[in-house]
Amino acid sequence: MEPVYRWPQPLLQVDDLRTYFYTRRGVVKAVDGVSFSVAPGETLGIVGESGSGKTMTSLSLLRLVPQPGGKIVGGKILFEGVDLLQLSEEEMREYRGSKISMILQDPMASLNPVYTIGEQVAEPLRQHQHLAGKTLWDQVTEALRLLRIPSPRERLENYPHQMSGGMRQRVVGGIAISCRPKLIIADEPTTALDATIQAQYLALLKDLQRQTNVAMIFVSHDFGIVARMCDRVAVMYAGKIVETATVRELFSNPQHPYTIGLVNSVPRLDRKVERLASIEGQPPALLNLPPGCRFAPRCYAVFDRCHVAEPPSIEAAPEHFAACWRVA
Amino acid sequence: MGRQLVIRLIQTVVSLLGMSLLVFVLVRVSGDPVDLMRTSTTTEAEIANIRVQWGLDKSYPEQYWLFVSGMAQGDLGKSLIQQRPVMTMIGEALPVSLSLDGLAFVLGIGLALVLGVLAATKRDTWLDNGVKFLAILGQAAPSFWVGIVAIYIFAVYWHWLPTSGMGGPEYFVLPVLVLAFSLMPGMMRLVRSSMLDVLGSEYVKLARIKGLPERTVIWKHALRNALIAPLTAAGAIFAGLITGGVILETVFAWPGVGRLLVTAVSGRDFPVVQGITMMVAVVVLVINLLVDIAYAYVDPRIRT
Amino acid sequence: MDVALGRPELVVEAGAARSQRRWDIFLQLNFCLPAAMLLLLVVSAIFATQLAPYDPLHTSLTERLRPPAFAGGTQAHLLGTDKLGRDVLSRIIFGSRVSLTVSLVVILITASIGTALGILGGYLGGWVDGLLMRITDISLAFPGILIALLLAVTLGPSLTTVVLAISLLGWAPYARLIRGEVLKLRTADFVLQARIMGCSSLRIMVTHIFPNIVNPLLILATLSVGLIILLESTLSFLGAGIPPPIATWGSMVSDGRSLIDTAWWISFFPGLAIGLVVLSGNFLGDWLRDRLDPRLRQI
Repeated sequence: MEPVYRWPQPLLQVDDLRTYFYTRRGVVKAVDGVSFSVAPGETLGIVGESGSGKTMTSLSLLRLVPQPGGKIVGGKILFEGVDLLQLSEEEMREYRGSKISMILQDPMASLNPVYTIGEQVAEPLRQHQHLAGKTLWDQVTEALRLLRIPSPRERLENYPHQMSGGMRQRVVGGIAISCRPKLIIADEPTTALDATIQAQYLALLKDLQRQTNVAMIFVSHDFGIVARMCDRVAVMYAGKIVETATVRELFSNPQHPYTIGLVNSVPRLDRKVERLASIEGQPPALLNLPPGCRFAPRCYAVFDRCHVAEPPSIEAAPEHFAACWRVA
Repeated sequence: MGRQLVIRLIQTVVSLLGMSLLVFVLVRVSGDPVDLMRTSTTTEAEIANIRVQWGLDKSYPEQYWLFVSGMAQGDLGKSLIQQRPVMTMIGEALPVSLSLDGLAFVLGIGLALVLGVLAATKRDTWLDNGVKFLAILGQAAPSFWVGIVAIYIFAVYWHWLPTSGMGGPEYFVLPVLVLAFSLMPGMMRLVRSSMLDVLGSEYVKLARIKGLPERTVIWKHALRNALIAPLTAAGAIFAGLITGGVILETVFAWPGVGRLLVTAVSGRDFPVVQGITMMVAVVVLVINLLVDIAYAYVDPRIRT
Repeated sequence: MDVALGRPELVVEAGAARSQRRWDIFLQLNFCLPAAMLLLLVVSAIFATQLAPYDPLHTSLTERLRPPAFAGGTQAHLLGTDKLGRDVLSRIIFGSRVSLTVSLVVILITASIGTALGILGGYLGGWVDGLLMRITDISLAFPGILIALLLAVTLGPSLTTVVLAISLLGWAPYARLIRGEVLKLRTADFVLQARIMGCSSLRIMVTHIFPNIVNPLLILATLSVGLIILLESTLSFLGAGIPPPIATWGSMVSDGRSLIDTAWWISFFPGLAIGLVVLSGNFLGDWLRDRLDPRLRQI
């Protein structure tokens, strides 16, 4: 496939991605026209509530949308210039685990209980780089070492249930980094960990990035974590991206009412607040959405136009986009 | 792990003793056990002999001890009808039963595994629905009836196969198939549902994320975990095998342990029935022990 | 900056719509067919004397081995006659009595004992529970047919023997199921609440735990019908069931075995009856499970 952009090009360019679910009760538009990009070595955060479509977006990038019922119905996913949605299944499989990798939320569930952790880290190496023997196990040990797992060689024979939660998540990280992918998608990687371990793990991921220059997409519902970890942030709501900006820009100058609500809801030690702010209401059910902006029912700044048409993504400031009629 | 093995062994022995106690009690609960040993030709002298042999004039604990120690030495009594040691009779009939049960087991479980996995991976397709339909039929139809219908269709109507008896390969076809067919549904449903559970798990998702070929995802990652649940049902499946074997040996007139048992029941040949029951108890408990060991091997969470 | 309110939309289901769904039950084939079949069973059993065209024990040397009406026989014997000239249809109708009686009695016995033991084991835990589990495991792993045959030999074949034998095999699934449910409930908050308020263990078991296990119990009972009838007919087939000349489906199949080449109908129709009743019981049980507690699904 011919690359579409000229150098310098983003590592990943997603254009108008649509992933729908066909259920007995109708079509659920889980991801409905999502566009963003990730530069090499950059960390993009995707923030949103449960049901905003952030996990479906990350699964769509790997074309692992849950069957039956789920389908990527439109858009482009350009990775290093190649549209992943045009590839055959075999070609796509070559990308998975080797060029793009993923860290899932629950380390106990993502590791197969009947195989050793060494074997599970070795698998992608065997599959994509066709390593064997000493070279293979050296690479496995190296991957575990990058994740700061102590005495990695001795741990190769361990089973997942013999390790603590934090260690297991490091193993999952090791699996992700083993083939030195260009992009790692981390889907709520610390949600299942203890609060004390969370900070440790996040620091580890940051360090890993520094050492290997891997780009990251960090998916989370926790705005605070995203603020710490990411260079740029995309805020998702009801299947659409409502705002995209650098972290600094987003926090100092949020444009979309939803983002404003989120920013205000993060507890801060440097400001005195009487009550924690929250956003009233619930995200909409994704079946039979009413016309107009999806956030309108909960929006404090809503006016007539919001109920009529969906706002496009408007550039509020350089490299700062918000999908809100207020910004226009 | 070794400690657990010893515990299981002790449990097995205790269970065996429990079984023997149950049999002991059941036999005496209906009255004087001597009545069970009477045939039309038994003389009073023989009756007296039996009383001494069984220690029926002694206390219950002593009788029980005689009972258990006799069996431990391989003495299962003598058939009333054939006047031969029960153990010998079982020994003669065993190879017949083993060949039928063994073949049916391999066929039935093999099919159950393949069909169960296929149904789970191709969910809601015609294959899946066909498999489910087959399972429902297999569990509802009594195996003796299926056997008889099969005999009618294949042996009487079409004259392809013999109606009964043992002999060359053509005599094996119907009995083995029908027995396998009776075993298959239960196992197949289990494999299918277990596989469905596993296919939805996070580690299978991760295996796909790693870019492993679908073949590897299913046979290496999914199946190994999916087999854990059906393995726990292996004991019940084995019981079904034995039951099915008894029934089908009767239908197809195979001279196996099952037929021996049934003939003994209708002929009121009590020692044979008791002897076979105890022997089967031993076999079942041993098999269950082996299954537990296999279970520990398959699931490392048990081992360590 | 303050964030103002937005009202979420509420969806209210109209009362009329809900009662409409109650009648939809009869549209579900999954319920209608098996329920009708089982109803037929009950009706046959109760009104056997009125429904059956002949006395099931009435033998007739002239009417021996007549084929069914649609296969060369006469209207007089719709499903043919056996080697003693007895009408097959009548015997099947009367055979339903045996099947139904055995099923009901056995379900009552096994459900009561199994539930009691399950509640005890699940609630009390400790060595009581351990022992119970051990016995249950063995009971499930042992080919019960052997115990049944042993009983047949020692006690002689009769209705009592059959009921006793099947009951001995049948209590274990109830015990295991109920124990599982009790274990889940025991740690539930409302039980803790009751203990804080000073309820005795017995009271908790009766008023709190029991109502929550009624559903799984009902489902298992319905599914048991099929198994019990299969067991009863197997015992009859092997000659360890209710002795002749009383008509039981299993013994009818057995009688027809030797005549399979000349009179296939003697074995065929009783076996078909068994299969249909068992199938209906299974379907109904599955339907019940889907309605009451989909968590228990196995397929």
